[in-house]
Amino acid sequence: MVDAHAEYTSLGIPHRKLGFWTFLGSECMFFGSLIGTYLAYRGKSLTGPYPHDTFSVQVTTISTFTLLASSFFMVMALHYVREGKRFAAGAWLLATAGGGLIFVGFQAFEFTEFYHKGLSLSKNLYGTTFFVLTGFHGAHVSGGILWLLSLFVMNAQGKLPKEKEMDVEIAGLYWHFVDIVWIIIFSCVYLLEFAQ
Amino acid sequence: MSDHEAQSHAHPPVSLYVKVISTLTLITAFEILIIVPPVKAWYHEHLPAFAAIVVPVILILSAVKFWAVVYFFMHLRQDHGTPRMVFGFPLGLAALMIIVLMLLNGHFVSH
Repeated sequence: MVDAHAEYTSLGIPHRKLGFWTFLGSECMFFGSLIGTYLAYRGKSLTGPYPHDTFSVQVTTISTFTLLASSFFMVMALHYVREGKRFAAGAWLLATAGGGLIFVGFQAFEFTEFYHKGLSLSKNLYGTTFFVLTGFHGAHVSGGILWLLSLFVMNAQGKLPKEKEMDVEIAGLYWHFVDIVWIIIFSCVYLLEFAQ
Repeated sequence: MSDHEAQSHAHPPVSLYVKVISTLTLITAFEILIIVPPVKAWYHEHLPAFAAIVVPVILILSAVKFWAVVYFFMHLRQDHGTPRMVFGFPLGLAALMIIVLMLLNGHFVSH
C-alpha cells in the first residue's frame, strides 16, 4: 500500500523520503570526519592506556550482534505495518528498540570499564577520538530508540495504519544507518586493532 | 498505476530479509573468529599468506555488510536514481576524506 498522504517529487519519490536520504548523506560526512580523525590519530597516543589495554572482544561482539539483529527486527516491523498487522508490528518495533537499548547498555558498561582503566576524554589522543566517535554514535542510537518507542506508542493507540507506512520506513532508514555506521566503527576501531 | 506506485508495491518477501540477516551474521561471526587469539596464532603459523591479507579481508567483508544493509534493508535496491545519488555521493566523499586524513597523518607511507 502506498502512503496515501505522501507527496511525490517530480523524481518519483516522496518528498520526505528524498529529504531523509539527503540528511543521511550529510550524516555520512559527519561520521566520515569522526572515523577519519580516529584512524588518522590511531597509534599516535604518547601515553596509555592504549586500545589493547581496554578493548574487550566479548562485550563488543554481543553488542554488535544485537545491533545487527535489531536491523532485521526493523525490516520485520515495516513489513507488518505494510500488512496492517498491528500487534506483530508493535512487537517488532518493541524488539528493535529493545535491541538498541541493549546496545546502549553495553556501551555504557564499556565506557565505565574504560574509565576505570584510566581512559578518559582528555587522557590521550586515543581517548579523545574514541569517546567522541562512539559517543556520537551512541547518541544517535539513543535518539533512534526514542523514535521507535514513539512509533510503538502510536501503533498501540491505533495511529499507525498501513497508510502511514512512510513514518516507519523513514525511522527504519535512520535505524539501518546507525547500524551501517557501527559496521564501519566495529571494523575500523575494534577488529583492526586485534587483527594486527 | 504510476511508476512510483509500482515501485512502492514491490516489497521484498520476509525470506529475503532472513537470508540477508543470516549472511550478515555469518560474516560477522567469521570476522570475530579470525581475531580470536588461538585462531590468529594458528593461521599465523599455518597460513602466513592469509595472515598477510587479514586486514584487507576484514575491510572487504565490512564493505559487503554495509552494502547488504543499504541495498536490502534500506531498500536502495528499489529506490534507485536520486536516493542513490544523494546518499552515494557524500558517502564517496566521506571515504575520500578518511583516506586523505590518514595520508596527511603519515599512514600508508613507509619511512
